[in-house]
Amino acid sequence: MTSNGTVASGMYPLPVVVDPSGKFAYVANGNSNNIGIYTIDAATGALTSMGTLPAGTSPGLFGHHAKVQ
Amino acid sequence: MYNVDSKSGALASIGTIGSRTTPFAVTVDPTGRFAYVANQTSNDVSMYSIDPKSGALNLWNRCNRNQPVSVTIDPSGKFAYVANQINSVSRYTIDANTGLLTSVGGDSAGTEPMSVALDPSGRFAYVGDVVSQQYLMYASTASPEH
Repeated sequence: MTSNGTVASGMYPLPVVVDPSGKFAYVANGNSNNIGIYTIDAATGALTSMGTLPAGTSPGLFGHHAKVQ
Repeated sequence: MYNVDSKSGALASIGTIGSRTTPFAVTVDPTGRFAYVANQTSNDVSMYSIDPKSGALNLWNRCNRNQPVSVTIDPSGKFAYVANQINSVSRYTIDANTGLLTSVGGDSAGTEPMSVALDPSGRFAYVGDVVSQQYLMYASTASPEH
């Protein structure tokens, strides 16, 4: 693997979830009480933050059935 | 171990199996034949076959690692990535017949990498590092397969 840079996460970076199209990525930020949304560059794979959505307290691991409050 | 009801998703226990110390995460390969468990404090990764009828796990091998905390398998089922909490990600090939993991190298990755996620094409990887509070982004190398 070759490094492609970094992108800031929330306080505890839980696993990234990539949507089946490979265009978007989501992370539950456990200690920040929100869900981070990223676009994925099709050529480089780099993540670009599109902002966050508020979630419940301490959102944990989630898959394709995330409950966003 | 559980049986999953195909309509409701409800879980029904089918028994238990002993594990190593601190089994942090279990991962099933895309074919549903093999499972892998990262055992954080016993410093190894357990390899299991999955009974196709009952779903029960059968331990058949282990490989040593330093503080493994997660196993991620690429969508093709050919490669596995193990996040080692002591600053590295190990790469493995997966034998298509047996599920055997064979080490093919590793990469330093932050300070305490806890997870590896792959995009559906398997070309890009994202590693969550607890200490730096960052996701480390990687592209697969230019070798024919990875």
